[in-house]
Amino acid sequence: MLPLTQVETWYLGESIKGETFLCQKLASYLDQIQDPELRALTGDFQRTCERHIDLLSRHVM
Amino acid sequence: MTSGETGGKEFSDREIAQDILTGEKHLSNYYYAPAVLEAADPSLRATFQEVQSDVQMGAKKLFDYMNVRGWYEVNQANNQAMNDLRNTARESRQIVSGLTGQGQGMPGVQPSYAQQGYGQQGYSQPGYGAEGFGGQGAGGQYSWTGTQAGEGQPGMGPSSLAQGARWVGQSAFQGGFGGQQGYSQQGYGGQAAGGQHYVGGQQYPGPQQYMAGQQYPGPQQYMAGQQYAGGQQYGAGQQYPGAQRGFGGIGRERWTGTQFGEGQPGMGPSGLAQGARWVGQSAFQGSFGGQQGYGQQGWGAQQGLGAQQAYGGQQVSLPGWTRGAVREGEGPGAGWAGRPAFQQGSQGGQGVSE
Repeated sequence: MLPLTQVETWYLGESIKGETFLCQKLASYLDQIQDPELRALTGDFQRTCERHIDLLSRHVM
Repeated sequence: MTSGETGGKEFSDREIAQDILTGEKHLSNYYYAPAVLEAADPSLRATFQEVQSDVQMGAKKLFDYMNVRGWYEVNQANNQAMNDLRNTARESRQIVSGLTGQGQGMPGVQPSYAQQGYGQQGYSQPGYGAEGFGGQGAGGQYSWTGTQAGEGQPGMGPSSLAQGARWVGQSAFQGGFGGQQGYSQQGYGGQAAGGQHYVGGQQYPGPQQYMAGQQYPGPQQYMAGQQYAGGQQYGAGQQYPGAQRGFGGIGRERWTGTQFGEGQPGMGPSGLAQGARWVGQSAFQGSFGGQQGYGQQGWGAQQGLGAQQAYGGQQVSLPGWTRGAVREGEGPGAGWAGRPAFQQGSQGGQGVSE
């Protein structure tokens, strides 16, 4: 793996933080959503978020 | 309407969907799109592309979900807009065919960006700054490096933002736009929402660059217009009438973020297409867009980007990031607050919606 550039580091960090924040938000929304369709969508998004965090973090580990 | 409850505040499904979509847009526009362009490592670039694709697909699902419920309206462009667009396309093709056919600007197409805008003084001359960003008044005083610490390409748009684009020279802008610290610290948000300043120059630095300037004020704060420090000069010595009150003025001018109530008052380039507009007596018209929108005095200014025909039209189609949340107060629209990099710019949440 190539050493990360300054810019890459910045984007990775912000992306991971952004995905994490979104993930937390989605989790809290899941309890509130009434419409089953939206709840399903939100659940999908949450799983996608988690996968993104995993993908992005691999470049840091 | 269904609703849930969080911390004593209820959100409807619609609000929740809107907020999630806003979050997706934010990630896509501000992080992944530029990250793809800036990643040097091929595997990292591929990761950003993959993630970006996921986010865009997710946003599409939400778009559809909201659209079928009438929560995300899309309207047909009116005739005027279509005519303007056709004129723009026609002129662009003439310009380009002139370039390829003769190696020079198309005669008879004046002013055109090939001749005076982009070409000579703005964009492609050394440093946006020469007479570009800073406008004529700057006269080379400001120059835009586009990068921090000499890194990467002095490019445009969010990608250069991340690098902490900065001004060199005595910039009225420093406090707000980036200053020394790039956008994480004082950037975008900062005190000045300096994006205006630089956009208002005589030269049109290019849409991307404009975005770069506009985004980070953080929609809310920027729109609230409380801190438009650099506003007095607004570009090339033009007076910016609304400067003191800033973009949004104080309770007077409001940015709806959409035109014709269309779509979602989202953020970023995706929102741009919705034709954002001002509501109320915009102090902004005279300098930013005037009657002709981008073309006349604003983006294109008198010598930039095709002048009247450039972005043409009556609407000052500001990019989405100039908007804030539409809902009042905290809530779904206030997402992202709390992330360090954006704290100054994007927190607030009260901006547009007052």
